[in-house]
Amino acid sequence: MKKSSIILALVAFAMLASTAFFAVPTAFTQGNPTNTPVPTITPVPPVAKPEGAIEVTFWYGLGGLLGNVVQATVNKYNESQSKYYVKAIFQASYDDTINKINAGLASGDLPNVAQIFEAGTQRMIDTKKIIPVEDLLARDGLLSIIDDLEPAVRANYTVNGKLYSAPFNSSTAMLYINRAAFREVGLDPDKRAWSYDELIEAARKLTVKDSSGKTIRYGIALYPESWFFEQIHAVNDTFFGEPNNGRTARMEKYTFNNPIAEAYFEWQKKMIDEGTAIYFGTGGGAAAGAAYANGEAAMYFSSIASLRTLIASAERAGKGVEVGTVYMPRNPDAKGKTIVGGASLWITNTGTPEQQEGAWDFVKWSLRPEVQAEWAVNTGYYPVVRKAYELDIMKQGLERFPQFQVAIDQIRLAEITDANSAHISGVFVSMRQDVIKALDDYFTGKVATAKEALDAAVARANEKLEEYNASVE
Amino acid sequence: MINFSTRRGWKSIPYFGLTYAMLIGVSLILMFPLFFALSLALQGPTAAPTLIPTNFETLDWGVFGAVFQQQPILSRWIVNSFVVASAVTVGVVLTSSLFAYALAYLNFPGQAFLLFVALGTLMVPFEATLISNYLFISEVGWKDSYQGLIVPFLASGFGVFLMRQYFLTLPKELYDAALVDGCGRLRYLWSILLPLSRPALATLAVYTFLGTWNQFYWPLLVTNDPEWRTTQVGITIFSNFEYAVFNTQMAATLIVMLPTLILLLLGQRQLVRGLTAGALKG
Repeated sequence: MKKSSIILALVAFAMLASTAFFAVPTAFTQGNPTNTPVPTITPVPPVAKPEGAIEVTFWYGLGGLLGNVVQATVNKYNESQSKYYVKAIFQASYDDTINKINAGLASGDLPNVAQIFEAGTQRMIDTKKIIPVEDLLARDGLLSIIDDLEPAVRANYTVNGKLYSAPFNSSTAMLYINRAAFREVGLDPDKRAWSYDELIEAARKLTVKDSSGKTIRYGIALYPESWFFEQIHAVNDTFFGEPNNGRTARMEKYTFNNPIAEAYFEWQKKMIDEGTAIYFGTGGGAAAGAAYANGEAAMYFSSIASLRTLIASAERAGKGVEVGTVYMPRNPDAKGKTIVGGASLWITNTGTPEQQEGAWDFVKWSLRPEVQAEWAVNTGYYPVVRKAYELDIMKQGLERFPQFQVAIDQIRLAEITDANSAHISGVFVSMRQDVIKALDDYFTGKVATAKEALDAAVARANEKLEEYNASVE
Repeated sequence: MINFSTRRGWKSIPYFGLTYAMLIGVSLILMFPLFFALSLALQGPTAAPTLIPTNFETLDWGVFGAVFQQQPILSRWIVNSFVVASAVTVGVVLTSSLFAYALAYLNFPGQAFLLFVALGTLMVPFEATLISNYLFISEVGWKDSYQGLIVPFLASGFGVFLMRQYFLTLPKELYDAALVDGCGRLRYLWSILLPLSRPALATLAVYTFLGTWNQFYWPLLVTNDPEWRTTQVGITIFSNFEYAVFNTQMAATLIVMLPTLILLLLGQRQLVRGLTAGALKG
């Protein structure tokens, strides 16, 4: 009796385990040799603090290899002058950085400058410890810098008509395509604007099955992600929340349960149902990227900041994938543009006046065209000031990566409106989880209609938004 | 676990083989995350890794050296985590045993109330006391120090409860006999009770050590200087943003996991005994 129950348990376990094996993304199951030498990781130690320099604390949340570029940029500033010394402290992630700032509000333990993602804008303003960058620019007679900012980037960090933070690293979302596969099936890889119907048709053509009927290349690799969904609203000049995306007054409610959102949901679901899309599920971004770079899916959504990594990965994979970028899906009636993601630099009113001046000096320096051009070329983010494009280093970068130009053009497709700029709210991060759940529920059939999934997500997000708004007012 | 008695005779051989095949299968599955992490670590900086590396000649074993090269301070983080986790473990074992001893063996008014106080701390989530703890540490100037990382965790309601329950399973007669023979209360605790409670102590120690080792938010809050970071906070610097390249992240994760794995292997016997203690009678 006892033994048989143990065997039963083992069998059940083995069965569970085998399903776990089947669930391994196909991208990981097919191998390929890589002969490219591995690039070495360059350590970037901070430079030493000069005697008598005023220390400025800078918290940042961008890790990994891009984080190395942050430290390198700070080093460059520290070497360029000796009056101030910027001490860069990595705080695990953007979200952790802002959480740590919130915890520090009570004890006054705040940095002089912080790098915060766009999802944190409302929360940073609500700390009431911020010196708006525009005030400092106006004080120093430098408002011309604002006019030179990339309009979409400027709009992203402007709230109630005032630029609050200095844009630092900006990106946008793209649809990545395998140009070789497009040519192979007779699609034009240089066509930038694709409607939903055209993409459905393209995915059908791009899907390849072997003789046994197994799909060896999908039209598109999908995963649930809120940022792309937010982009679609901007592309269609549609508000994500009221009033005015929270850009002129505090946002009171989310309104993303609209026909634009339904069309986006239904478009992806149709491709999944037709078997021309492979769906990787929640957290499947990395697997979808691997499928794309390995040539197992011909299209995939990602940030323009991942361009170089995808090119390098596709080369290493050696499956003949030719990385190209096109606009986020645009139906012919779409009148908007995509929005900007990434992060910006916030100056706080903590510390001595000298430290605050040092913080401002560093931020001002970071907006220089040559700093921005070098930053962009080394990372894959946009330069946030337009003068950067006049520099040779940027021109060469664009020549080498024509895919990048598509991204630049995409954020310039339309005049700036509140509807085609990112929304601002205090519950940005948790709202994204609601959207991801809605997408996943609908794609996996847990919820029958897109409308139902969206209504539920909006209700959840609004509940949290109300709670947040009540806590700060 | 399974008794291959001779009663089953020849039948036991296929039975034995099948059991082992399954056990090996299950352990492979349990080890899968480790193998996968190793595989991702060795495939270089690519967003298109494969489940199993296809070309074993181009494996990038240098990645483990590279993470130390990129963050030479990684070894300091491991030392920090060790010091903090060990100190907290010793503290918790000490305070829990003493408190539990008082609750289980002494008779004094308010005993039940104190037990409820200890249990009550389990109902208050860590997040609720976070800011007040943080303000305190900040006020006494313990940020960026071992004290700040250790002191808030030196007592544990769970530890008190666990030890008390274990002490209660030991026969009270032992205590009475020892006292009759002139054994003092502290000596009884030290020479008799604690040695008998080794399984429970090991369970509490391993549980506390791992819990402290894996702390993230508190060490992040009270440290700014990289010198004072612990491993879990420190290694976030290897996590790439904007694109999914995992090699250094996985290499660093494997490095910081090793010490806990070694500890688990050493303490496993005691741990398993401790977890099942009292589950079976006789």
